[in-house]
Amino acid sequence: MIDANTKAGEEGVGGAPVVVSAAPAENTGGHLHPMTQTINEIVKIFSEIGFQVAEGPEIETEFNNFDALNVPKDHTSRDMQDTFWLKDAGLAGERMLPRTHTSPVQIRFMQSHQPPFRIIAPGKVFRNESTDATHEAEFFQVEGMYIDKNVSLANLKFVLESFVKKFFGEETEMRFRPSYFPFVEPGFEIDIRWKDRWLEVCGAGLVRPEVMEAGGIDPKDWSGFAFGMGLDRMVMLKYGIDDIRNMYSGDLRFVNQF
Amino acid sequence: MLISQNWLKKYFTDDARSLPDAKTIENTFTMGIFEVEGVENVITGMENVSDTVYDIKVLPDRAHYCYSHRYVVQELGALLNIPANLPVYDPAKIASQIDSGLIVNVNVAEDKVVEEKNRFVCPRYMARRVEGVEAIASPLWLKTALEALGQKSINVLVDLTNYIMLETGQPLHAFDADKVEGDINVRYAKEGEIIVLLDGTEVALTSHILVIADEKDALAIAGVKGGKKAEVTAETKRIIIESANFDSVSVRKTSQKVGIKNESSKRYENKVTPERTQLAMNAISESIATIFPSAKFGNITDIYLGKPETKRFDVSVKFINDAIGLKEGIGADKIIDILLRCDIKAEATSNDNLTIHVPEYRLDLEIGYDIVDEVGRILNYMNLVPVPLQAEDNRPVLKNFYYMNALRKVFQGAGFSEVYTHSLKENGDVEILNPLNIERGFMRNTIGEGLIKNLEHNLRYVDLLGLDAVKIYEIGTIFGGKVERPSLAFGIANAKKVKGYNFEAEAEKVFNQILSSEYFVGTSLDLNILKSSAKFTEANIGTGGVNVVGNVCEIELQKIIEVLPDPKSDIYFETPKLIKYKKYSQYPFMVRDISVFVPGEAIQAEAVKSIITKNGTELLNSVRLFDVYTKNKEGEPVKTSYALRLVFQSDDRTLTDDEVTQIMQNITTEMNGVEGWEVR
Repeated sequence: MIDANTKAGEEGVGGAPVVVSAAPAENTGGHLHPMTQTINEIVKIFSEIGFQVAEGPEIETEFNNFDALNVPKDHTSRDMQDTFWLKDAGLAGERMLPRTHTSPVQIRFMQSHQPPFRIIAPGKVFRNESTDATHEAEFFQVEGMYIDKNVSLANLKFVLESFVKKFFGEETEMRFRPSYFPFVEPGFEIDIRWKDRWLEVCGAGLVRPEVMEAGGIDPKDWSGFAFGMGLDRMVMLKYGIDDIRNMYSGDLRFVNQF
Repeated sequence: MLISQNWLKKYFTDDARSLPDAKTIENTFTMGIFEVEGVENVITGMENVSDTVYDIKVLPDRAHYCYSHRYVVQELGALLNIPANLPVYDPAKIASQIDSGLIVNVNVAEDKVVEEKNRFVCPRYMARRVEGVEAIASPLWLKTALEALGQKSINVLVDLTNYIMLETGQPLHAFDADKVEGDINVRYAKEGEIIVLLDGTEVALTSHILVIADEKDALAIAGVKGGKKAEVTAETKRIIIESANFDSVSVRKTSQKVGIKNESSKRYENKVTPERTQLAMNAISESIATIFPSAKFGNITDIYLGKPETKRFDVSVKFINDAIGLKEGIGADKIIDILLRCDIKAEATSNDNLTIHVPEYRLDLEIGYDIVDEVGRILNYMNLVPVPLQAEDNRPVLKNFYYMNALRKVFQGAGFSEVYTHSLKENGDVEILNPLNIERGFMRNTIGEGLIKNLEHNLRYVDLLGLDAVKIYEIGTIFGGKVERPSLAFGIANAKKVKGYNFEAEAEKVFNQILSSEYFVGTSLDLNILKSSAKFTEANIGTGGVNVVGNVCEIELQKIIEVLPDPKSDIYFETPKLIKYKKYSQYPFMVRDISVFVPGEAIQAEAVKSIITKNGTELLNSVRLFDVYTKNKEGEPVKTSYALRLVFQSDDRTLTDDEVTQIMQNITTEMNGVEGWEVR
């Protein structure tokens, strides 16, 4: 899925030896994990157009993770083979789970804030998936939401287009392809052109009225868009990392390259 | 779903506006409705006829109608604005072949899907008896059409059921009428009842599985798979055709239970409207009549328990324009036109209002936003002009996010490397019901204890990394009881024993660095708060009898953040340079030290290094100067000793001692060759 993307001869890369010239006394510079760097870069880009950072718990109720987001009761994403569930029920007897996406932050923020608002919410999510080079049971997403009067698809296109240009580069080609997510309508997948291939980087759409109602916002008065991105893939694309397991290995042969 | 180009062509018969090339079709699908996952050119069984097959990824919201050539054609025609001529199957065409004496009696269980009032397990069951047919080989056109889509041709009767399913999306089944004993009963299986399937496997049924049975035995698992008993074979002369509707959840559960997923179960699982059974029954009847002109058809038995209501709803022209964000709005007429292309009838009922009449096969159209999508994709989202958001000045800063970044700044400055480790761990207070494995059965209740393992792991690579000590930290969430909270843990492991080393004193240094940093200075945070929220862990992480200790300190972040003031603006890190990550080698590395006396003061380090890099070959991974001292003795010339540590590693093999020794010899020889230099 991800190209290793290392080319011998590039600066500090490949065959040429990396010469560490600093004596120990000078070697005090720490390293920031590439996930931190990516999250902060994304937050910065969105903050420039007024998005504030929001957060939510990693353990969620079934309601916030699924029901409120219009995921059908019998949807397969609720099955044990896709989602981890906690052994113990929540305080009100509801089923609890490590959240499968950052979208419940939408619900929590709507419930506790009056529109208009613009949020960007990075965080860890969990899926019941066996681990390999491109899959992890724990990974990161970032959620975005904008609620206001008369929010349009043209606004959504503006926001995501400017993000893609700033994050991946001004020349990056992008497309807005129809897709489906239960919590938005119309729904889209945003692809970028990456080395002659189209790669999905973001899901997005207009917030469905059912979702707004679950968040306590009247869909007759307000409208909005939401989007979500898988951060691991973006980190991997950006730096040419070929194995997602590196991200959570705690191995400094990985981290100290950043 | 595989879609055949030749099949599409049959519906686009307007010569003037024929189908565009395959590339345009692929792009139209992708940008207008479904992603195309593959396009393949297929050689067919017909002479000089090739086909192009598109593998389209049907999305869940349209799966209830687009697992069919018919409706995919409808969508493609709408997107390309080329009218498609969808076949009309008029029952009058076979009127002369009707024999009302041919009867099928059907009894359908009136069970409903639990908890839901109007969902019957079998909303509709249609059956028709047909005589005067033969299970002969299929005509070439039929064989070719199926084979292009990867389906095996069996005989004309079975093939037609498959063909009509691929066309209409409605699964069909044919039973050998002579093998059916008495009435057709749609009922739940008896516990332990056995059915032998078409492929010969025996399945023991349970009472939750719906079956099609005759008076004695189960003939088929409803919506999933036919049985051996009433199989259509070479001897078959009379058949009963089933065109039925089964509840999506019931079929999904049955399909999971018996472990069979196929073209039929897939369609039922995605909900098919019960209205479509009629279309498919008419279609297959007409096809059979064409191939067997003397065949006789009984009247259709139709048990229809769950007829859906026709749907209509209102949406305003303004709503559609606002939601898409069209700079120059479109009027009701244009919207009505667009929707008509999508086979949706819209009626202007007042100035700004449209009443949408939902076609019976579109179960997905329910709200105004669904109409926005239909209009938007026909207008083509690629043409939509982006509209900037209004400026927003009020942008509150999230306290947790701000202070976590502030701490990262401090730890970065203090020479720590940030790690991210797993939240799913072997131990904890919050247990996972269905863990991946026992090593990841709990949500962690500490970060610090986990970091000990990372200290131990990284200690093996200090030479490769050019470090004297492993210094790491992580900021993340820990889970205790029903509460989760942010936590920060940092740990240090020294590669060699350091005299008088005291980790708590080191931690205090870090605390003081926090307190004196620009983000915390002048706040109520003090050393006491930091110390009281810290927990220390120590573990022996030495291997092979070496006594090495790893120390970790974990801080309850909430206790710190709560005393801090609300921040005004976020902290940002420098935009990272475009670093390309280099995959680290999986092979062992070798370490060699070299020290050399060079005449003069300590200004020759670069010259020393350049000889090393010149001779080091591609196996030299890093060079680190670890000791320099200058000898300045009375009566002797001034000379300086440089001690360096060289690390060798290959990306594709384990190095031998000999090859590294050879490289070291080359370096030594060149150094000793320089006037006054002396390798020690």
